[in-house]
Amino acid sequence: MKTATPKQWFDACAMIGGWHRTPPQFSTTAQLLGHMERFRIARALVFHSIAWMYDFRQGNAVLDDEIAAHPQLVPCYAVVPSATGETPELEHWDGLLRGGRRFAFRLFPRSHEFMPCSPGANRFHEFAAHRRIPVLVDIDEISWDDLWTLCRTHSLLRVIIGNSGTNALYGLFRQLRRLYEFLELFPQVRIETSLLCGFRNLEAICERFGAGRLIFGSRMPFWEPGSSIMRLQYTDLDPREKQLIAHDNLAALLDEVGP
Amino acid sequence: MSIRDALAAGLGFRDLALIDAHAHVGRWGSFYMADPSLIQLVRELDRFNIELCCVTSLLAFSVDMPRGNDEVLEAIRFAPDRFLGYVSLVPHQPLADCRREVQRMLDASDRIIGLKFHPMWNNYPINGDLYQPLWELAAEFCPLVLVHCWLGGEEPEANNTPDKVAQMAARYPGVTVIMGHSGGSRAGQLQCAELCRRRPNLYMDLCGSEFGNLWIERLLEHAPADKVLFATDIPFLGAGSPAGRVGYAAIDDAIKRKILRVNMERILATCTRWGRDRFRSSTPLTRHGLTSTANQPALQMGTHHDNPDQ
Repeated sequence: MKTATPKQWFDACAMIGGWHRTPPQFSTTAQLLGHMERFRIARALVFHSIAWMYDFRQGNAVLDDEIAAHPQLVPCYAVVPSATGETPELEHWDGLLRGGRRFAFRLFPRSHEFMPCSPGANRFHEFAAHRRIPVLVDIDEISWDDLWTLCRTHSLLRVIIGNSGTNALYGLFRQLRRLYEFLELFPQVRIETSLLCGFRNLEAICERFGAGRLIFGSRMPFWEPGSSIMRLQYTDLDPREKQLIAHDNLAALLDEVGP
Repeated sequence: MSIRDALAAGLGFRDLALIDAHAHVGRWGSFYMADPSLIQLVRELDRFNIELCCVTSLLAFSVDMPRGNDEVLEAIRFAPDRFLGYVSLVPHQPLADCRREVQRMLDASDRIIGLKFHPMWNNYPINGDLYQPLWELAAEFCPLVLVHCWLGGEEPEANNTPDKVAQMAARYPGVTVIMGHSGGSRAGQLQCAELCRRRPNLYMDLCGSEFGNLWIERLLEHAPADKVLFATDIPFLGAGSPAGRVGYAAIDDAIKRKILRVNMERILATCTRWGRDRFRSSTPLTRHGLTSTANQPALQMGTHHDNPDQ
């Protein structure tokens, strides 16, 4: 019997750039594009390792250079909203939006040592919420308490929760008791699927909360996309639900980004 | 049509019935499992065309060895054509109880294929004195042992490192030993690969090994393809991850077939009475038109033309 396969895939979690420890499978934009083609992933939301592990401003700039010629790659900018004023002024982002750019933000509160719910950060989150810019954060980058405060304080902020591929033993599949609380109380929260690899995770979340709450992610280059793809492709969901998770949910979120 | 093309087209593993070397029945207290019932387990097996699933009880190596092992028998009764069972033994239990447990399980079903040890959860080194007589039981009754094997990370690594497991495999050359999770971490997987190369009776299974961030193509640059086993860890994990990792990998279909079925079929045919009866018509490799590369480099990577990292 044939399984319905999503027609398009939009990867919410891909990284390019080098790595400071044992290298993952690849590092270059060309390699990412090659794997996307191999796995028929049409678009990907991408961040740069320099922005995570070295300097977020430089990393974002390198990311822009790297993906400029590849419209299928959508930038996911690392931001450090704090009182230091390092993150570009809100006007900078508004300028990009007015120029037609669409993008998402990624927070690394633990790696970048900032308070994700400070007054300075809240000002930024308020801005992102009103511009409908998705904000991605991994649970090993933020405490559950801070994540709770973030979601409760900013009820319009579109938060996508993931988990770093570098600490996957405690992947999202082990966190459903916590995640269900977030999904129950905060309708603006979505879950990225790369480490949602537990038994019947996708089916269970869809049954309870609907397919609109899940967003496909591969977590390349750490994880093999075949893992995330297979889990969704051969899951017990109807074709429409699969398509939402594989592509449409993220595409819709980014379509709504604007000044 | 290649395995990958068939999967991409939504046709599944239509020409290959998989064997899962390492799965479970039961639940786990520290996190939520969405309905790990036997019905759902069988549905998961059907979804990925897993013909045979070798299960061990989560309860048995947790706090109730006999009750947990009974759950394995229950699974076999529930779907006798799908489940094979390992007897989980806890080294802290009296040896007489363990011996009785093995005999009880073997008497209860001919689909009991081996023993399962979990040195991490039972917090005792796999090469320690209390495990020694349990290895003897394996050698005496069912010479196939699955060991939870992990290096580094958050686990107390002293108990179940690949080298300790390999030490026992060397001490019991008549026992076939599967290193569960292939050592887990990247370093663990590379160690397992090297040890599998050296020891004929050592194998490594794939479940949970995605956490090591080592793609199958790269793992097989180190591991002998004849020693790598498909495994799911259901209902901890879903079967989709390992099935997708192997099925979509940029490796030859012949190697995928070995990993997804043939290697474990050979183990069952060699180590278990049930397997000898079931697979006696011919050797697994010849039945699947394959040749052995045991203890040889797994891949000629140049032949894998569609890997962008080459």
